[in-house]
Amino acid sequence: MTSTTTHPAPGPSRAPGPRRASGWALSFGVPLAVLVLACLLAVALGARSVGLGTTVDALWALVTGNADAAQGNIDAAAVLSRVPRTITAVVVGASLAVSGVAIQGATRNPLGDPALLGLTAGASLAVAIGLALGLAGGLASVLASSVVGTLGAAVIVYVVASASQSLGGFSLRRLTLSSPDPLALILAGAAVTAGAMAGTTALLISSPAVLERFRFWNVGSVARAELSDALWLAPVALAVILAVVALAPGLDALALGDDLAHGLGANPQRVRVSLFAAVIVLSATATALAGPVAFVGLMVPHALRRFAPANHRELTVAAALWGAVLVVSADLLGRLVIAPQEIHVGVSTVVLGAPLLLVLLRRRRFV
Amino acid sequence: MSVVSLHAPAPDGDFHPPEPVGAEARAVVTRLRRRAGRRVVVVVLGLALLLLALMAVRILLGRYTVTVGDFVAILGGTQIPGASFIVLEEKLPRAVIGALAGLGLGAAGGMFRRSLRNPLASPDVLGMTHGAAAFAVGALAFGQLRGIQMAAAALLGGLAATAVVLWFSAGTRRDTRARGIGGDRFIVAGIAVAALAQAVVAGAMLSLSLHDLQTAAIWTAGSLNAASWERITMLGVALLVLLPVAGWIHWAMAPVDLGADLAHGLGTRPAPLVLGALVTGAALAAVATAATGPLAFVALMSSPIALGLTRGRFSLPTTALCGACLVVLADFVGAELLGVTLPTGVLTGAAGAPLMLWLLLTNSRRGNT
Repeated sequence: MTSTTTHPAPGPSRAPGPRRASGWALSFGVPLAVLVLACLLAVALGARSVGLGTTVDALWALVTGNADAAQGNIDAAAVLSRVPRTITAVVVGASLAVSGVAIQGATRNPLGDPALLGLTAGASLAVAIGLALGLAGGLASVLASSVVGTLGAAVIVYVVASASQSLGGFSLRRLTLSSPDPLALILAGAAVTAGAMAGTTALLISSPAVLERFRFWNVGSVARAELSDALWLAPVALAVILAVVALAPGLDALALGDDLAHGLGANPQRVRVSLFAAVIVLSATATALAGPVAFVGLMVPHALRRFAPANHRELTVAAALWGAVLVVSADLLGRLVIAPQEIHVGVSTVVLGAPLLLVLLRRRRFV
Repeated sequence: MSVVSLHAPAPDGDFHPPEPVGAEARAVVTRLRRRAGRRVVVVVLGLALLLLALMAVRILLGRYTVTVGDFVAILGGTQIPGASFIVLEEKLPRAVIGALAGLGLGAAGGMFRRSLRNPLASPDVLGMTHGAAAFAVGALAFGQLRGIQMAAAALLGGLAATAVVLWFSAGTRRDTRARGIGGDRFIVAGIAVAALAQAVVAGAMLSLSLHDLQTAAIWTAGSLNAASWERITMLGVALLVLLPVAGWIHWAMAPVDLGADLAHGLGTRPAPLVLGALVTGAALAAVATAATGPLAFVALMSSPIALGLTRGRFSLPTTALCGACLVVLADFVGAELLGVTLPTGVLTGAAGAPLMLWLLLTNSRRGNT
């Protein structure tokens, strides 16, 4: 990787830090290498650990289409059985981390995370309703209901949070796509999450079809991932992530506030609406694949801003890669720590992320 | 107090001596106070009757109906095949534990409401009930503790969650002194603690055997399924200790309603009182959770309902009784009225979430943080 110094700041950076010369090598090369390493480890290690040579052989067989032949070897079969969940983890991690960047930028809200804002819970509820109504449990219908649920939750949270700030009553006409108070967003998100979770549990108890699917999906997990699902949704996630990368200069402008962004020639409302659309698709994709996985969108951008507070384009790319690394390694560690059983990804990300939220609250002053 | 006609003649342009005006104002205030006080008494009595009626409905009606005569006979010791078992082991314990847990949660909500003065800051939003559940499940999963030890673990969990939330939301000491504890950071810290505790519950459930899994299932959504006379005794004793303490603190906090500065001027020290209120409130919520699991939003719902009934006067018995009525009602609806049996906590959660959104909408919380 050539260590080119970045071109002299086209858009002003969000938080001009001292170390930002490292550029694309740091935000692209390093995480990509780490991601490849993490994925190799994730398919090699587990209940039956496999040497690196066998792992590479098995993967090569998969790529060249000889997977059936490789299934005969137990070690190779073990490797191949871990491929779907690893790919799913990559897609989920990248989607969630990028949607975190987009929410945090679009609402200028440091506490943005699809799960904290109730989006994943809304998606879960919608999927449960879809299953209970007897829509086929195929991926397309799950994804469609997940998108609908995410959208519904996003609208409720955004409207309530915006309205709770306007003094003297609530009127839809005065509602603008501005940036509501971070804490109001989180409170509304918590309420939506609680309501949606209650609804999901009720459906779970009353409908066997829902229970069948949700038994492994209630807590976010990649353990039951299907390779076909992941490969079908990976291009969708990639396309939307690239769209966010393309929108990144708009994020840089938004960081200065709407008035200055206007002055720089950006259209804040249009940028915001596009980003919200991207967030909804990304978070719905992740939820459709793995169920509710919380705090990835909060953790990754915050960790990255400490090291590379560059422009949003670099931040988005780096967040996608590091998010994938985070979820892949969370899945791997969850498999290794209590060996015969597993800690699901949805649990371990919360255990890592909730303390971070507490620390952020203690350090910074919001509002 | 001097007796002055309250229907004083209309001002006719003459001089009125200042003394009777003061006395008149005082009489008006007294009269209003008495009227409000009377209102609280009426509300409390009405709620108590409502609670008894709901418990009677819970016991007598439903899929298996019991006549009043049979119920009295069973309580008197007569053995009626079938009915005796269902009443004594199923319906009566559920009604009683629901009422007790509701009293505890409602009182906890009242304590938090008065001390933090934020309608959203209730122990179930702030993660106290989830902390209690996490410790209880942890004790079951990793220490094989049951019964009273598990309840003790739940109490510890509720207090630990309170401590964590207080520590992380307090900010610097100067902040705290300037703005007091509370505010929205407090609530977000509580949400983080609740998420963490729920993850711990989900993780700990994995290492439970199938038998314990059945009992632990109530810890994800609160339920009265585990009602037993042993738990009722435990919860009853805990409430007997905690409720009088809570009542005293609640009463002593009255000057704090006027704001920290005025309360100082009136000779009370707000900080220890508020802290005491939070600790007792968390303990109340924790012991209730130890008996029934985290019943979502009961504490959150009961204080606005109670304030509506008493027209804005804080009253601990009113909030506690509101909580009890809510839980018994939710249990009856969940267990008998719907086509499927739903855990009580699912119903209270479904009812409480819209209320939380509505509270967010109606409370302009500007300047609260």
